[in-house]
Amino acid sequence: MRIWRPFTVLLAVGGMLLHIPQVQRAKAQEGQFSVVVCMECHADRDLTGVDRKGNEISMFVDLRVFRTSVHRNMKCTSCHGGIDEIPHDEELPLVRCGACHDAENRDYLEGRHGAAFERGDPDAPACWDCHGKHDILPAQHPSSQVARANLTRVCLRCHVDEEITARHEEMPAPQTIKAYEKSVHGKGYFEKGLTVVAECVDCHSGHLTLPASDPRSRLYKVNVPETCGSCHRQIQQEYERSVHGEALRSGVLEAPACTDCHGEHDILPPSEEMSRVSPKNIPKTCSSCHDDVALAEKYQLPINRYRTYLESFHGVALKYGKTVVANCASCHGVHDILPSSDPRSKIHPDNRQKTCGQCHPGIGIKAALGKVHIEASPASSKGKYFVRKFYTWFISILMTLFVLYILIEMIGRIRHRRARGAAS
Amino acid sequence: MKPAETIERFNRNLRIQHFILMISMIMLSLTGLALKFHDTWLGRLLMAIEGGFGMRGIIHRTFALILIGLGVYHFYYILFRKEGHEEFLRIVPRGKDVRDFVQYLRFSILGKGEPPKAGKYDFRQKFQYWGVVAGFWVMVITGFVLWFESAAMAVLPKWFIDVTLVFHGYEGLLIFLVLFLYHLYNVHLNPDHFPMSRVWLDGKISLEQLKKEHPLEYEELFSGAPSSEEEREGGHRAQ
Repeated sequence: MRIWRPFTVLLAVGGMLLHIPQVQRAKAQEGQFSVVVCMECHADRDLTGVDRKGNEISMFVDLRVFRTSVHRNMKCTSCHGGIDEIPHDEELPLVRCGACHDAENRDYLEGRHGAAFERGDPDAPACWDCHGKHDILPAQHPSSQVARANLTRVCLRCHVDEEITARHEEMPAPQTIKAYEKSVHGKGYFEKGLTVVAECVDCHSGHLTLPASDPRSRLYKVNVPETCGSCHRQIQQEYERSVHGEALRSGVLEAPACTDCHGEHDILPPSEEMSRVSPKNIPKTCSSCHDDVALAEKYQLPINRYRTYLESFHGVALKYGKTVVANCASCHGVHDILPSSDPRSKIHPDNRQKTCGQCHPGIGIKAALGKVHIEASPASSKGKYFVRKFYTWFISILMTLFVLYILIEMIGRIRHRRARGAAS
Repeated sequence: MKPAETIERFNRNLRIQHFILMISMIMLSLTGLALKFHDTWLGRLLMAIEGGFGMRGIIHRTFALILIGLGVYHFYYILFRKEGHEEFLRIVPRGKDVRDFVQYLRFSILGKGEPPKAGKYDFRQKFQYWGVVAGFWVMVITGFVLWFESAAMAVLPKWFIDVTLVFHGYEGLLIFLVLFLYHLYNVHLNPDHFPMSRVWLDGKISLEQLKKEHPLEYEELFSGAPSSEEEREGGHRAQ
């Protein structure tokens, strides 16, 4: 941490306790120079200086733009400290927005962006990289860089920049981020111009950008349902009651949160074939856990559900593109999946007839209670097992006999020919 | 009566029946195997040729109906048409067929005695015919259970339908193998007829062949021997 001048610290503390206008008044007293004084030099369009990275940059300030900004009634020296005389030093202390915006600043510094900035990472975004500088507008203003309509584009400036991501191993690959553009959220944002869809900040937070591994992060697995639920409230409630929701809440991190089935940046609606939760892909998605031997052992999940489903008529039909047939979700439910022992479960014996009846109206209770997608072993399904065994043997023996028959037939022919040859 | 070079073994009616049976068997096999071997290259290839999963089912059921139609007609033909009835009596299995089979094995393997003398249908051909009849019933009954699965599930337990599906699949495979290996070898691919017997096309069989393969029928036709196999068996039965 840099050493703050005690006065500034005092002001910052005061800013928390007092109303902002008072802080502004107090701040304004720090700098003695009016905007007009500064503009004597900074109105010059050709004025240049050198920034911290050593690049030559324009030092021109457009007063007309500044006058439309949210800080229009503040003095230059309210933000730009260290100016005791005019002309001032070429190198001034960094603008510290946190002097007034303390809560945001603390979140920012705890987040990854702030931490990188503190490390002196030249790519790290500072306040003004997202919010703007002299043109800064309140977030509610439609033209603000951080207005909902614009903010995601601001994030993408860096996060799809291959040069920047190449320099930072900890940043996700641009493709990962770009997938958002094609997602149901991104399409709503980019194509439909919606501001109610999930944007970057809705899941990642604005200032407190924590890694998903941090338990305080909105992206931490246990917090994901809450994060998604801030828009998808009813689905969250449904999910919380499910076997998956309960498990995750009780700290079973292998239990799926929203993102495990739906994806993250690339979430697609189930109606799109490419979606992880489209009828065609659901079995594969569920199988990523339910076909996992280690998980099955650890939590005593029934094994081989995927393979036996794929071998069933439903599975075969689905594989060949018949999406009308039952997939996992058709019988087990979607967000409200419960074990068959739970009376609320769609596959509880009492509810089976209704569940199967969705597609097979009038199904009898005997059929509805039958076993589905299980291995045909002598213990579980005698009939299937023995018929299969019988035919396997029967066909094998018959085919062997057939080969034998041809042999016998050939011998017979030779004998016949010989016999006739002898007779004539 | 002067023997002609060839005589008609199958009349036009039988040839048409055979042709419809052949076409429906080929189509049912191809569409059925696509499903049976769905997870192999063969299944994927067949499924693609047949226009996808839905179309495969439609083709399969269409030819199933054609086959059933043929079965109904065949039933009518052997019960109510004189020629059909007479033909049917010739293919009914009799004790002689078992004896022929034993005699055939004795001759072929041990080289003892003579090859058996067959009538219009030898024991192999009878076996083939009755195999088709049995297969027809198994496939039609199990097929209907699977076709109207919702109705079936209203009254039958799930395991019954599961077993039915297994039955249908394996019985179909069995029929396919019997027809396309055993039948094709017996009738067409064996050294006497290779590459093909023409009987199914024009119904004609040469007298030479008739004498060799169906000597009793030859005798019956040209030397006034007892007019049918049934009569030959007659004495035996009376005892």
